[in-house]
Amino acid sequence: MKPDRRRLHHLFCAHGDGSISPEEHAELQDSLRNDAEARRLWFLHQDVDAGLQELATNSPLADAVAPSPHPETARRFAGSHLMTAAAALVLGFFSASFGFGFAGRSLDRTATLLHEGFESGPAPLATGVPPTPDQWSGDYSEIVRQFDGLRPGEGLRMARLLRSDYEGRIEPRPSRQGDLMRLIDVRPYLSEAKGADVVMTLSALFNAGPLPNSEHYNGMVTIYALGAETDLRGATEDSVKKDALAFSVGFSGETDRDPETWQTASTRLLLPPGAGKVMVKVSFCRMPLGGQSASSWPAAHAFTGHFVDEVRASIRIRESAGHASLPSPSRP
Amino acid sequence: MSDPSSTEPPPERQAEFVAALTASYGKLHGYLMGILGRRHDAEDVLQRASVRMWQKFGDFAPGTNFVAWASTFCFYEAKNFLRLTARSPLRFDDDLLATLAGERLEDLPLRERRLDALEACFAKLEPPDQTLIRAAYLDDDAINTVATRMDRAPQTLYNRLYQLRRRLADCVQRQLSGGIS
Repeated sequence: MKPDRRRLHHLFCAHGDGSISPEEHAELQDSLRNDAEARRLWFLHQDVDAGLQELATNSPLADAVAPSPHPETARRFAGSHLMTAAAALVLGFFSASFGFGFAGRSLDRTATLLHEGFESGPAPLATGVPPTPDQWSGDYSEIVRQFDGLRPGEGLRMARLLRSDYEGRIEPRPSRQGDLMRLIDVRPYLSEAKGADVVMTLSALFNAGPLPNSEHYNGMVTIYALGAETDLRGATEDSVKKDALAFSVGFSGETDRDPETWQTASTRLLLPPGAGKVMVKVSFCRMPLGGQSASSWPAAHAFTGHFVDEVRASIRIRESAGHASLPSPSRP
Repeated sequence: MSDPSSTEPPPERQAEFVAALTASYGKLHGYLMGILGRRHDAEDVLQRASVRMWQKFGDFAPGTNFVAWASTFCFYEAKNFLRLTARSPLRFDDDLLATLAGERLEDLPLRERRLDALEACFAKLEPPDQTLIRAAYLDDDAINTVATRMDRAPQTLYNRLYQLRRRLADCVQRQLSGGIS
């Protein structure tokens, strides 16, 4: 007997959004267990769901609730490919990363931690790791409007990375990566979580002007989860990495050579117990070609035209129904 | 500044792992979606599984099938996930989990074709429907925001979203079977 597609679709959706009842869940299990066609439709449904997520994420409509996107913006993002979602790689202090559990949930709450288009606010400092929250700092950079015909991903301004070093850098290794970092205090959100899983996501747009064929770059976003008492005065990125409870990195894939298109990097991290602050970092990294050794490059790299825009960070608390709601999100 | 992942294994192994994981990320995520059925769960499990893979990457033989190797980590991490969320009514039993995991590996080659078809099907939707879908997938709370703005009940928009997803699934299936969507 052919499965009732409409009914199956309802069950798939209810399972996906957590609204499924125990009776419906039993019905879904029976269908999947006993019917190969139902399983095939299940796989199809999951691929559609994941594909729509990628379409939304790779879309310029980050403010998707806006009634109509600017057509010029839509055109400039037309180069995004559905299947270019980059891997999020989680590294660091693995035991800490595994120290927290999965929480059952029927209701998720999200809040915006950061939405930075570099439209206003002070210019980023070029003093390395920011010791205090809510200030961009890192390597040499500047805020620009359009640059050689390359326009911001959104709004009128964007950040331009200039070099892969900062004032007074003393780290011994050569550097091929330009960074901007920002510290965020997440304790108000974690206190509301009351033991539920807390998932942070970070994304940013990357673009570069015309590049020599010999140069290849990758956009990267990184989340470092730090203890509430971590003191970042005098910290370097190496020390942040050592102090981090966990961190995750997401890549844009190799930056294309078309200034008309922006590329997205995103990552997410389950914040481990004890986290109280997060450091978000957006970076351009020069990639060595096959057989090419980065060790022969100069101690610091000068970027010719590398831009970052629309840095977004949000936090999601996966909680049970009836749990306390999140505090109002703060915007910089 | 320094590279983000330079502390644990040799850099050349990191690059190799990142390249393999990046190339396979979509398939592994799809594999987990086929087992777990929830996007966020699949992402969380893949995050944990990727750490396990990284720890065991020395055992991976270059040139062999990374997805097949990695899927074993995903499967056991998914089982662990379901065991820890046993109180949830959403848990599938072990037999069904094994069935889905086995069939999903065979089904994975279809995933790319489905996603390509989905892009074409999505492009045929009316702009307001595209906007609704993007809103729903970008922000868990966006439907409520849109509903307020449109002075409509959120449930109305959720129902519309369900309809659209079903239409898209049907369209994708038609495209793959050579029909006209």
